[in-house]
Amino acid sequence: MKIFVCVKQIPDPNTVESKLDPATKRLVRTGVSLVLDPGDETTIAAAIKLRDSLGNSELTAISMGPASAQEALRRALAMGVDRAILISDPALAGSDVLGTARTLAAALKRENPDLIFCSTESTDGYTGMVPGAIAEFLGLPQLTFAREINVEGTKAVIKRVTQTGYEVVESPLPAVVTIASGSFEAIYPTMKGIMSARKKPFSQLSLSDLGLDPSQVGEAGAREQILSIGKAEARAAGQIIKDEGNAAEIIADFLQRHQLL
Amino acid sequence: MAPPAISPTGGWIGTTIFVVIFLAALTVFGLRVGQLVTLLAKARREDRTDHLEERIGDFLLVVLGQSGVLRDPIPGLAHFFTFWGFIIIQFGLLNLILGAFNGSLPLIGHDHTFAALLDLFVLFVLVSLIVFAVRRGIVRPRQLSSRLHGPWDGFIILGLIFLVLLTLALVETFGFAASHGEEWSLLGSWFGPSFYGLGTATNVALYRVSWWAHILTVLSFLVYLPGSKHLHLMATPFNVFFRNYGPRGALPLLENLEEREDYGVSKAEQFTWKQLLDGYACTECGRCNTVCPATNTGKPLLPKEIILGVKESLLDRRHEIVGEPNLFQKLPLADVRSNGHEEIQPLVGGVISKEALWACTTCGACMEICPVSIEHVPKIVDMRRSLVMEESDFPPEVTSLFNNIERNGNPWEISNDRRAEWAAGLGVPLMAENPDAEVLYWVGCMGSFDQRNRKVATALVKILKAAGVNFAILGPEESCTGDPARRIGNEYLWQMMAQQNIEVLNSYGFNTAQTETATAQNGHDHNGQTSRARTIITACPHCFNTIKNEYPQLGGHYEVIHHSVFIDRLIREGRLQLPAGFDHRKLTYHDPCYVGRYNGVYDEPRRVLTVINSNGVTEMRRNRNRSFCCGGGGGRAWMEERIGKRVNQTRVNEALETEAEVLAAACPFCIMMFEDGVKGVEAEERLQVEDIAEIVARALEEAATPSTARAGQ
Ligand SMILES: Cc1cc2nc3c(=O)[nH]c(=O)nc-3n(C[C@H](O)[C@H](O)[C@H](O)COP(=O)(O)OP(=O)(O)OC[C@H]3O[C@@H](n4cnc5c(N)ncnc54)[C@H](O)[C@@H]3O)c2cc1C
Ligand code: SF4
Ligand code: SF4
Repeated sequence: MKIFVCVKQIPDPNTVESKLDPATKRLVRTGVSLVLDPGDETTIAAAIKLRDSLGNSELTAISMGPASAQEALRRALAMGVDRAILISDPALAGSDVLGTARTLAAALKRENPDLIFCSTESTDGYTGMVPGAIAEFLGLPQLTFAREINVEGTKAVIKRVTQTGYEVVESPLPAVVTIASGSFEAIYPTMKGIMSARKKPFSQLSLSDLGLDPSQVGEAGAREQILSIGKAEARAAGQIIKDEGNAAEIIADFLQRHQLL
Repeated sequence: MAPPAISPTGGWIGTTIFVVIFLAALTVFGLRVGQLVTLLAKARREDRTDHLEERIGDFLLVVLGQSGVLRDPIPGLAHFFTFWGFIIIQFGLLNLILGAFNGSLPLIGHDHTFAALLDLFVLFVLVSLIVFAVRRGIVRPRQLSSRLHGPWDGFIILGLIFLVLLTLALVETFGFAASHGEEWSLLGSWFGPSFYGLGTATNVALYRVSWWAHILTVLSFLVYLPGSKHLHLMATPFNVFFRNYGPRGALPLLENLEEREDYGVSKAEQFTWKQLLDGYACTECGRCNTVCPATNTGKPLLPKEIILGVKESLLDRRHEIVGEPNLFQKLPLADVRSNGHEEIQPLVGGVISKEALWACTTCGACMEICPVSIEHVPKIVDMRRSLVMEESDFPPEVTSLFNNIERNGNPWEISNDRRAEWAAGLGVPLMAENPDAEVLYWVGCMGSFDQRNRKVATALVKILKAAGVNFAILGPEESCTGDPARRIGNEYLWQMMAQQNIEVLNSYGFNTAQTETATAQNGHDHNGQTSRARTIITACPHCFNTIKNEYPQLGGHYEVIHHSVFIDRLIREGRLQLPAGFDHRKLTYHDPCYVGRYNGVYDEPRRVLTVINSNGVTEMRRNRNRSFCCGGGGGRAWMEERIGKRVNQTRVNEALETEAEVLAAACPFCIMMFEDGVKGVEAEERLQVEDIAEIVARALEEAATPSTARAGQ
């Protein structure tokens, strides 16, 4: 089987304080330490696990991003991914969800994938819209919030996380699957992984390789527009209820008012 | 070469039979030893021929003087006599063997003094045997039990030695009786005359029977030896001779990370020959178990079982290692072990459990006490290396530690840019601002970021300022030394961090190797000043140890001093004026493993504390080189303690036993572990945990504040 996992390089969420550029109104992504999205690390672990259980399968990591995103892909290779594809092109700068998904879908299409893994949402942008858009561009079914995934014959079967437990959902292959965060443990690369990552196949694609026109992606093709950015309102201090016999009542009232009861 | 009074074999037929048996036994013995040596020859190489003169001196002291075992006086003395008895009895034996050829040893063969000495040792050994048997059979200290050789090996050995003595006594008795005192011996002269009545012919026969019994017992012993724990008889002298003379705190470097096939040890034969010789040399005395903080708190780690586990695994795989089919396989008598058909367990995760490997704090107590210089910690770390770098199999909480050290240069999810924040407002220059600073204060991650240890860093700054030391810190240019990564088994990450730090330290001219060559060339360093040794000080024993003892492996040679030693020096040079005996609280001092055992610093911290404290230092039960780890070393500070009692609480309870009010330490990890431990045993009211620097800084404030002002407070 040909399995793909979409991964993204982001500013290190643990140490980099997110800053927005007032001119472009976008996240500052240069001059900060960049890492493979920790969420994607766990999605890679899920994909590796499936690949190993299936046997005779190849796992490819694919990313759209600037040249620096190579590092994120190297990490994926060190973790055990077999092959990497980086889509990088100056014309891609300024891509919104639509442009990102269009580009990824175009690259994936050339590969005839059987299964495409994404995280439910990225740790920086977290719109959670890219996977759905990829599925749409490719005309594939999408399985979401998977905490477990198996392939049975020509079907993908997942356990889909719900508020109370999980439901079992299946779809024919090929399909796009998003992995629910926290379902898998990231893999710390072994030395063999790190050393072999340097020798594994790594291809870099530009827009023209994908047959896309610069007007469809990047700044030019963006359908989203950021109108304004502002500081989130500081959270108001919580209300402390002292129990003078009627605390339960006050709390119940409060919950009802917010339609939580 | 005077002939014996009576020929023990009774003629050439007997002698021929003896020669045949003797050569056969010798051949089997030789083959069995040969198998063991072949296994060592197939192992990794390692050079242990440095420091030759010291090796020879120590060899004499430890092997001939038995100084190792003598540290434990009762079994030690018993061992001393058994050892020397053994040597002297060998001469007696040779004498008896020469008898078969109508000869005897020159000079001492018929010498009464030698005969008397021999028998005195026979008696000594007998008494020792009783001591050993009582210990093994009645006292039964837990550390003596042996999984590898089973419960009987110890007794079989004692039985064989007893038989050797008994048959020797019989030989002497009947030799004396048969020769009417011509074959003089002390025991013979005591017991022989009682047998005169049997008649000479009977006595001669009994003498010959005893002689054969003696010879056969000795030969059985010889054949049995290589497969038993008494292999140590032969291996120990070599092990002591080839012991490590490098810095004790340095783990061996894993070379050529880029081109290696393996990263650490998952199979016994991946160890070096010296590490494997350790297994042969282990006497199974179990001293290491008695001092191990993991064993003592119910963890599944027994250092002795690590050593024997490696030996077991090596012997289990002996045929694979030598190459099948081999001589030893075809000739079962030549094989040191009879098993070999059952399924062989893997070394890591089979013979030795992963939990055992992760439980080690690398405190070094086992290596310190081992009478035969066995090296436990390098083996444990070698196997951890395989788990980490080959299997990516380690406690899950360690993943973020590795990622953080690699990405952020510190163990936490904090940007290293904030490394100097603790010093804001203290007037501490960065190296970049004061590149000619005489002293670099290496703050370490704990001092930089940990709330509790920032107070220690602040206290140390006060001291340095009071003493007028021209110092600076690196701030964001400093990164984690990599010590926890290395001890957990991530050699790759340690080398990465070390290289990065070495570059920074070299750029400020701290590398003594560089300044030496620079001085040799033009007598001046890059600033045109005459080169002087510049010093790095640190309050973290782990930083101290790895920079001092391990960075040289990657070309970083520095003069590094632990802050307790530096403070002691400042006091003795008169640069720090401390009010003597101002602190009246009862105080005890905990020796951090990487200051004490690994680097031999015991006196300086005590000297500092004794100056300030009117009561001096009240010692805990286990102190100095027997100090009991806080539980935080070897990366344990970053792992959960899921099994058994808590190591830190065990040590805190020991401090409480002294009724001290202050538990002084000199290590940020000890401080963290003890603060936690004191809370755990709910002793916050009774016991304060303080770093030496904090105690000294308080004394300085005291000196600066007139007592009248304080009285008003
Ligand atoms: C007008 C505009 C301009 C923008 N310009 C830029 C820009 O110049 N540079 C920039 O980096 N961002 C830019 N962004 C942000 C960009 O739209 C999002 O980062 C991108 O669409 C992914 O969205 P997300 O992070 O919410 O992903 P989500 O939908 O939350 O991601 C879910 C999963 O989809 C996959 N995925 C998402 N993005 C990628 C990717 N790039 N490669 C591979 N897999 C992926 C991953 O598996 C990810 O975990 C811009 C946004 C707007 C609105
Ligand atoms: S390793 Fe040393 S201390 Fe431990 S049992 Fe063996 S000889 Fe004794
Ligand atoms: S180093 Fe310490 S914790 Fe590790 S085995 Fe030896 S005594 Fe036990």
